[in-house]
Formats: sequence, structure tokens, C-alpha cells
Amino acid sequence: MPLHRLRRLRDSGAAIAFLGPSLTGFLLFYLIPFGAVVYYSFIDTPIQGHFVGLDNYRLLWDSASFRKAFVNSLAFAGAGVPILFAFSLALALLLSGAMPLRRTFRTAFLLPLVVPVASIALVWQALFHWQGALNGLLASLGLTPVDWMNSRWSFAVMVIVYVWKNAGYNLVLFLAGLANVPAEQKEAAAIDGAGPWRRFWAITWPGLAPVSFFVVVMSVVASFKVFRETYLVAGAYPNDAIYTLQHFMNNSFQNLDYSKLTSAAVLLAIVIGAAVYVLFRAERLAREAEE
Amino acid sequence: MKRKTALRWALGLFFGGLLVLTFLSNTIQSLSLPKVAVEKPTVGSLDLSISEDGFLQPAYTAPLVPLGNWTVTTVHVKKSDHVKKGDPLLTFDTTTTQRSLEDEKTRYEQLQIQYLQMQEALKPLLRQGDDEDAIEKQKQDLQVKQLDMEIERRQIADLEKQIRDGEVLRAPFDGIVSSLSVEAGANVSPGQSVCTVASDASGYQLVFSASGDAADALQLGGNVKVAIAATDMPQTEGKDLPAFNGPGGRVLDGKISAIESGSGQSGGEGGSDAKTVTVDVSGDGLSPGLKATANIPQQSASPGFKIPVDALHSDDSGSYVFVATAKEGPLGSSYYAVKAYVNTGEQSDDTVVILSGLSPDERVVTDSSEPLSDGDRIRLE
Amino acid sequence: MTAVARHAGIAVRLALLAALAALALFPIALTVTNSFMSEREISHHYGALQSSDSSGEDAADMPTERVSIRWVPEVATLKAFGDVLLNRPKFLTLFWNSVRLTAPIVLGQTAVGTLAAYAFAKLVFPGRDKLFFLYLLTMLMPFQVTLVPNYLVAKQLGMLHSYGAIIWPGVFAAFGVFLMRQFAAGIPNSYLEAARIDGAGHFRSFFHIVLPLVKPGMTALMLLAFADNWNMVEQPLLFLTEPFRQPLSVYLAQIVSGEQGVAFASSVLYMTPMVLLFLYGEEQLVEGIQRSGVKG
Repeated sequence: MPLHRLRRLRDSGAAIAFLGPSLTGFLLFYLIPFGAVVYYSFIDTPIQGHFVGLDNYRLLWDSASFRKAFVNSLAFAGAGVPILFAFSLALALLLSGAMPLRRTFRTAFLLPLVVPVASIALVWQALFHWQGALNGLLASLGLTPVDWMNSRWSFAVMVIVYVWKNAGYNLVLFLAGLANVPAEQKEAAAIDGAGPWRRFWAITWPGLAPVSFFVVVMSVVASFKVFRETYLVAGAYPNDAIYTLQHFMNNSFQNLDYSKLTSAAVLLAIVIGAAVYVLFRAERLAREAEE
Repeated sequence: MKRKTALRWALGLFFGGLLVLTFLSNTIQSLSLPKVAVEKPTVGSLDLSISEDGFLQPAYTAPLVPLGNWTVTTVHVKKSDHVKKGDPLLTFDTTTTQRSLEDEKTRYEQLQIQYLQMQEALKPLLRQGDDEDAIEKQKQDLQVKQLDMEIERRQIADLEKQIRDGEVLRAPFDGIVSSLSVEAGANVSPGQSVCTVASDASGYQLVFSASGDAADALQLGGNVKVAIAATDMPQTEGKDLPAFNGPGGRVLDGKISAIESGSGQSGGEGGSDAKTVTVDVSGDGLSPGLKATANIPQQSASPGFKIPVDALHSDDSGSYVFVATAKEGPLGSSYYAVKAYVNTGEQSDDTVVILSGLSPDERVVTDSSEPLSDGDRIRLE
Repeated sequence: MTAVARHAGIAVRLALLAALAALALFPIALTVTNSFMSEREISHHYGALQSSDSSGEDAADMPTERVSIRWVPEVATLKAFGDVLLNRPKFLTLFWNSVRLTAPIVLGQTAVGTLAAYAFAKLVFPGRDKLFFLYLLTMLMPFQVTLVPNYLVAKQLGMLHSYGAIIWPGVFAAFGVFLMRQFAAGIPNSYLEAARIDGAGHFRSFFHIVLPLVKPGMTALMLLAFADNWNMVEQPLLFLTEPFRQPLSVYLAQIVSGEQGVAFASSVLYMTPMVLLFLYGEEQLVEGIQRSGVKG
């Protein structure tokens, strides 16, 4: 097929032109330096270092603070993502159909996404401080106050903030997914006498599957960004329960601990890459099984 | 679409407003807060140096008086003339005295004649030799006459001396004619000062008034540098004076000879505690009325923080200053004026020493655009 | 299902939604209303947050033992805003720092992303899908993974501690390419086919067909990129050393603990442009989010 080949050639030329700026920057600022990071993770010091194999990784894993951060990050994603998923889905279901004020509600739930974290950090502090409003409420109810930010409760606080911030994004995704579920099928099922629960699992949920995949991916990404909130509310060294990989890496960076930093970055990239790969793989399998 | 237009406007106004504020922020700020000048106090003793101007006055001035009720015939000198001992100053017409001298001489001759007559009258009594009483009386009378004649002789000598010495008034010593109150033709009387001559040998004085702690710190006998202004050098022609050191006049050493308190003359500025200070200074070629500056370097006894007098305020609880304290915020420092009560030490015209109540890094408000009260937000200049 | 039951159902759902929306808006609304409080009132209500620093001598000024959340100020005043805007030059400095960091990233990322999106969505070239997956993977990486690479490049290019160290990686962030590709992929191939038959080259196709059609996508990207970068914390924290070069986002956290009197007002000023932009482009933003979830 000479014509097809010609087009591909022509396209390739144009692709270089259109992709050029992005690819240059992408290579220059992300890919090549990441290669350097991988290289650095195998030598002992950045300047005239020697190849030390996996020593850096061993050291990293031996570091208690890394393990703590690693476990915390995993736990946060593990707990936060499902909670956020369920919450946003419930919100979308509540908002689906011909609800009045639909747009207004959507705006209300989306607003936290765009409002800068830093600007409401004071409210979080006012709520969750040891002498904060929440403890005031507990005290007035005769309950024991909780040191929210300096105990294991801080984990729950961060999950709440995480859900507050990201529910809107997922809500929009779910609403789009719900819109793709044919209404006639639902009505037909309703006439057949299927209960709401059955109708959800039989009709709505399969329709939401593609969007769910993306919700999970984006939620995992967002779970890493909750560092901002944590940092702004609790500082660089928060309670152990919310000391995440991000804190670990930020602090390693501040201390210029390169070997830990580079090996942690590589490790994190591998873990996330693997997770994403598995998710994409699972999604494809699910789609193929459906067809 | 209406909503979008409104939002576009809101966005534009927001950024525009902030832009305007950014450019104007300094101007606006200056309108809203009292503007103050601050100064970090310097540590040290207060410089209580005195530098006062005055005019040299001779330490000893002789008033010269005529010896008789005479008329001035000639004035030989002018005021400020330099005179040597014995130089004629004034010549008088002594006619009146000469006339009384002649009168006295005539009276003396009369007495002489009377005496001779009485001697002649005694001779027959002696010859008779019997009237002892009469003889004795006559002898006594003769003695009285003799005494009268003696008195008369002295008077004549006096008058003669008066004329001899008084006809020409001469300078009693080397000096300068510091005042001359008569002119030719004037009638003068004894005891009336007609002329004064300032003695070269006695030196000069500088008198000025000082007040406050600077004056209190002065000591009798203290050394004073007296600078003589060059431009006011006296005319020195014909006199052999040593060459002055330096073109800008010269500096002589002086000593404080007197400190008198409560002088009436300078009641205005110094108030009741003004003191009159006299400094003795001597040197060649000085003349009365020469402009001179007394420099007395001295420092306060107790060192502390030196701040301008204007910065010190006082109320019922004592003296205080306003200190500019910065409250560091992430958005930049904001400054507040905070009252700080202080103990003050010595004080000069423009500076006061703070003994306690301040710390070295504190910035003291020295001037403000508005009256301040404790805790006021301020803006530093 | 009867009409009554349906109405009741909707009422219950509405009540639930209203309650949740109130929770979602709670911190924002509280920040806004409290920004009109006087400094005195703020320190009274929130002083407990910094109990160590009790400068008030007046008994009435003493902070309450616990933070007490007040919705309505006793006396509404614009003093806090005036204080921030007029008396603290640093606020405006930092505000413009934020603008100077965010604007180039947003514009650059949109331009670069739109161009690349055309290549990924509408051109055929070897290795396209693998390269796109690499972009996707990078996009999903948290900042901390790209932190060291960014640092190394900035050091190599000699722009460490300068805005360039933050702006350039932002411009080439994979997210822009990804989102714009989702939009560009939505353009039917037949449009481009028709243009090609009319003799249009790639550039004419791009400027005359693709660009007008992805405009909502660009708006969405700008909004999302603005929200993300207006909010940036990590990069300035790690790359910028001078306090006066920091953007507002980093410093607002310190305002919160340092100067409560103006914290709410600064927060409101800080979130205002973002909220206005969001309301302005909400539809496009929603579409952008939806597109991001579409498997292209």
C-alpha cells in the first residue's frame, strides 16, 4: 500500500512538528533526568560515586521512616480511595435523574477542587486543633476531646479532607457515566419488578465500569496530592499516622540525602507504574470479557 | 451570557484593582498610618562639651581720674590705642588749681608776717623777764602759728604736686585704652573716671553663660581651650607681636576662674539654673572685645543610650520613649509604637542619656507625623 | 411507584444533598464571612490556636479557651482587607509572584499540550501509543517522583532557585497533553478527511478545524492547570529559597499561624481569582473532567 505508507510518512513529518515542543520538554525535564535518577540510585554519592548495586535500596528499606512512610501512603490510598469512590458514587446517584438544582449542587461539590488548600487551612486548624471547635463540640456533649492532629485520628482527618477536595471531580465523572446508562433499560427493569438494588447491580454498575476505572486511577493520583493539605495543616513533620512518602521525600530533599531520595523515587515510580499497568490490564480484560 | 460578562468584569476588576493597589501601595500606606522616624540609640557617655562664644574682657582695668576740677585741653589717645607706661593720655588746663596755689602761697606769706610780728612782740617780754605767764602764752601762740604755717606749706606742696602730676594724665602701665569718656574742652572733677586703661600684664577673661548638666559638670580651675577668631585680630602695627600659629586664628589655654550661679543677665534661655562662667586667658596681642570661643570638652559621668531630647516624653508615671517594635508576619513586618519607661541621666541641649529601660537593638521613635499613643500601628520612614 | 412516593424520594434526596453541599461549602463560606471580622474578634475566637502567644492585656481581648466558630461577625468591617492590601506590601508582592509562576505554566502547558494532542490524536506515527502511555504514566506520578529529575535539570541549566525551575517542568507537564488529546480524539476523523480532500495541510487542518473544536478543552485545561499551580506548595518550598520570591500558597500557611487577624481576608483574596475563573468556565471544566474519563 504505497498510498498508506506515504500518508504515514507525511504524518510522521507533521508529528515531529506538532509533538516537537512537547517531546523536547518531556525528554529534557522528565525522561532523561529520570534516567539520571535511576543511575544515581545505584551509586553511593552523586559526585564520583561508585556503583553499589542495590545497596541504596537496602539502606532505604532499612530506614524506619521510609517504611513508615511507605506503609502510610499505601494505607492512605487503600483506605481513602474506596471511601472516596463510594462517597462520590453515592453523591452521583443522589444527583442523577431529574433533580432540581442539579447544577447548583454540582457547583457546590466542585468548588473545593478549585479553592486553594492554603486558603482554608485555617478552617481545618480551627476545626481539628486540640483546642479546636470539634473538641469544643465534643466537650459540650460530655465526650472526651481527641487530639485530632496528633494522634491516629489525624489519618481520619486527612481522609476527610481528601474526600472533601476530590469528591467533585469524581462526581462529574460518575455523572457522565450515569448519563451513558440507558434510561429505558432501567425503566424496563423496574417494570419487570426488579428492586433498586438489583437494578443498580444489573444495569447501572456495568454502565459505570469504564468510568470507574478512571475514577480509581485519578483517586490514587489525588491521594498522593493530599500531601499539600497535610503539609499546610500539620507541617513538615506531622503525626506518625500521616507521615507519608511525600513527607519522607521532601525531608530527604531538604537534607540533601540523595541516595535515599533517588532510590525512593525509583521505587515509587516502579510501584505506581506497576499499579497503573495492572489497572489498565484489568480494565482491558474486563472489557474483553464483556464483549 | 450575562453571567459570563459579569464574571469577566469581576475578574478584570479584581486583577486591575490589585494592580493599581500594587503601584499605589506606598502612597496609600503613607496616608493611613502615622509616619515615624526611628533611630537606634548609640551607647556612650553624653558629650557635654561646651562651645560658647564671647568677647574678651581685660582682667584688670585701671580707671584713671583727674586730680582737680579741670578742663581737658588735649586728648592724646583714642580708644583701643595701645599705650606704654608714661605715655600722655590727656592734658588738663590746671588754671583753677594754680589760682588756689597762689592763694595758699599768699596766705602763707601772711602767716609768715604774723609770725615775725609775734616774735618781735615776744622780745620785750623776755627782756622784762617778770611776766612769766605772758611769756608762756606768747610762746604758745608762736607755736600755733608755726603749725599753721606747716599746714599751709603742705597744702602748697600738695597743689604743686597736683599740678605737676595731674596736668598730663599718663598711662600707669602698658595697656590699651579701653574707654575714654571725655573730649577736649570737657570739665572734669576729681574722682570722675575719664579714661580706663586695660593692663596688658593682667591677662583677659572670657565670660559666658552655660546651663543644664553641661554647666553642672564644669569645675573651677578646669582647662579651657579658647579659640581666638582670626578675622577679628586687632590692629597690631607698630607692636612686635609673636607670629600667630595657623591662619585660622589661634588657640590659647585658659582656666575657669569663676562659676557663679543664678546670674541675672541671661534669664531668658537658660532659666534659673544658668551659670555665669569666667575663663581666664592670657597671651600676647589680645585686646578687649576680641571675639573668642571657649571649648570645654567633657563627657557625662554615667554612660547610657543617647537619644535625642525630642524623643523623650513624660507622663504621670515618669519619662518614656516610644520604641518601634516589629511584629513579624509572613506578609511582612508590621510596626507598632510601644511605650517604654526609662531612667534618664544627663541631658544636653539636644541629647539625653537613657540609663535604663532600653536595650541596644531597640529603635526609638524620634519623630512622628501624628501624636502617638501606646500600641499604635506605625510606618517607618 | 406512585407520584407521592417519588416526590418524597426526591425531597429526601434533596435534603441529603443540601446537607452534603453545606458540608462541602462550610470551610469556604466560613472563610468568607470571617474575613469581615475585626482583628479583635478574630483573636478572641481563634486565639486558642496559638495559646502561647497571648499579647492581649485587656480581659475582653483574651482568647476564648477553645476556638469558637462564629458565622456572622459582630461588626462587619473591611478593615482586614484594607490591612492586607494597604499595609502589607508583601501580600501584593507574593500575589504577583503567584501570578508570575502560574500564568506562564497555564499558557505554556495549554499551547504545548494542544499541539501535541493533535499529533497523538490525529496523526499516525510509529511508537505513538507507547509514547502516550509514557506520558500517561508520568502524569500519574506524584510530584515527589519527578522532584529529583526536575532538580537535576534545573541545576544543569543553571536556573536553580529561579522561577524557571518551576515554570519549565510545569509547561511540559504531561497532564496538558493528556487532556487535550482526549478532546482532540473526540473530533470526528471525517472532518479532517474532508479538509484534506479540499487540499488542506496539517497546519491548516489544525488551525481551522481542530483548534476551534478543542477550545472548550483549552478552557478546561487552563482552569485545571490554574487550580493546580495556583495551589502549588511543593515546588516553591523546595526550589525557592528567598521568602520574597515565594508564591502566596506557601506563605498563606504561615499567615494562618502567624497573623490570624488578616488570615481570613488574605485567604479570600487568594481564592477569589480561582473561584471567579471556575464560575466563568465551569461548563468547560465539567466537560474537561468528563473527557478525562473517556477511554480514547
